[in-house]
Amino acid sequence: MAMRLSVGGLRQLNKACVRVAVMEKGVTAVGRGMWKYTSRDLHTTTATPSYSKLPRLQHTISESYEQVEVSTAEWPYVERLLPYTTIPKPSSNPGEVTPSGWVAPSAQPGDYPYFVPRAASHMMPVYVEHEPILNRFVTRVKHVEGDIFALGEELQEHLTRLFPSKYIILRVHEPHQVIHIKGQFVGAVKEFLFKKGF
Amino acid sequence: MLALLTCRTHRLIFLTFGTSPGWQSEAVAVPQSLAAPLILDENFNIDRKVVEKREAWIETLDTSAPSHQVGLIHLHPKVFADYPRLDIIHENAVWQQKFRMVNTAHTKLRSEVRGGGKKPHPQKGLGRARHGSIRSPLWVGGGRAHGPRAFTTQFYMLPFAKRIRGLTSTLSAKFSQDDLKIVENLDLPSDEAGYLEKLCEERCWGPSVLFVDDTDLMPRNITIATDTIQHVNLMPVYGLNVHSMLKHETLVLTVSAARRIEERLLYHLNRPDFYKMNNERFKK
Repeated sequence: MAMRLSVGGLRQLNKACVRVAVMEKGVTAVGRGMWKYTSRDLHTTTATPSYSKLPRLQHTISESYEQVEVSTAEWPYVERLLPYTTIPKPSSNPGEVTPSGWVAPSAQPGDYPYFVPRAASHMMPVYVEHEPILNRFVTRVKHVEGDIFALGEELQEHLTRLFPSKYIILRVHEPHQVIHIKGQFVGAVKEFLFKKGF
Repeated sequence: MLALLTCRTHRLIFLTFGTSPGWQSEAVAVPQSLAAPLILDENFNIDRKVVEKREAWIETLDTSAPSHQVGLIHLHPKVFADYPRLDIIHENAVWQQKFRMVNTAHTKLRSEVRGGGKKPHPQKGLGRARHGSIRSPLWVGGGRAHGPRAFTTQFYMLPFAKRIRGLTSTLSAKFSQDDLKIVENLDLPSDEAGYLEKLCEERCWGPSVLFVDDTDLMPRNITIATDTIQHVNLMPVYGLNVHSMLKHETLVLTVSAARRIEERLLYHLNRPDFYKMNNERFKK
């Protein structure tokens, strides 16, 4: 409607809308502002009985629930969703390189005077620790068994050859079975140990 | 493969590595008569390990038996032959004593010291320093600003990995020093304290002995025998701790206790969420 929306115009519009909206079944407009309710109720009636008439203390179990069948055929579907309790052993040949880049160990105790077993996660136990000071990094080779000093010497030689400009500071800590190297040499050390077959 | 001897006819095997790691039940033929030797040789899945599995005698506490050795048991090297970390053993022993300590040292605050409510002298005009109370920390006899307050707990939790390593290191140290004995069960023929004392004397078991069994309901005879002896104690597996193992000279484990300890420690060492246990703050 092309009507100027003045206050009076809005009031008229409202009244018209209200009048239209209230026109429900069972309600007839009688005059202006007067409504008359017919015998038919405004709320709808349903077939459900009232609360007091519901059956009390009467439980009826349908026949389908009386016989319970025990079945363990579906257990594998449950089992495969359960998390692992132990880290599973990877099934691969010694020395195999998997598509992810993981290298299976191939060295046996006795090949070298020292031995570096994998951690429980089957990864090489070479870690780098960064103290919250700019350049303070320490590379650690852990779980070294056997003659740890021999491995320390070999690592010193190897890293000095790879990084001739750096002065390799290396410490062998026998009671803790660990070698500390000052700096970040994780990649180089891991590669060295992978080549040995650990 | 780990075996837990649950009863004389069946055992539960804990498969540490495999397609479906978990527990499986297997029937085992265990000799009913004590005359046959009890050989519990486990084939541990410890490939690529420098350290070999350990062997120990299974002894009996019955002196009327022909020999006090009735069998042989293989022990997992990761639990009983671990490289002993003396620093971690020390940390564990210190932690066990300190974490339950409540410090009762106490000093009074300036509000708690008697007196000192009035301003000692006017703010200005005297040429003296300005003071509000004679009990401020600046004054002799005044309160202490940041002193100790009573009932301060010294509670802290050692990292999970250190506690595990402490147990394995102590067990390994005990075993290597010939202070760890494996016993078939804790059945004694007599409930006299003298019987047990004589047994320990004959076998050169140290003055203090700690018997560890899988259950916490111990047999009648040993309970009565050790009741009066203060330095011979009984303990269930879940009570095993570094301090007790160091406090007692000899540690005597039953076969089921040894297997239970192995199973529990190896489970924790090989669980995928081990680092979560390590980093998790202790939730009260």
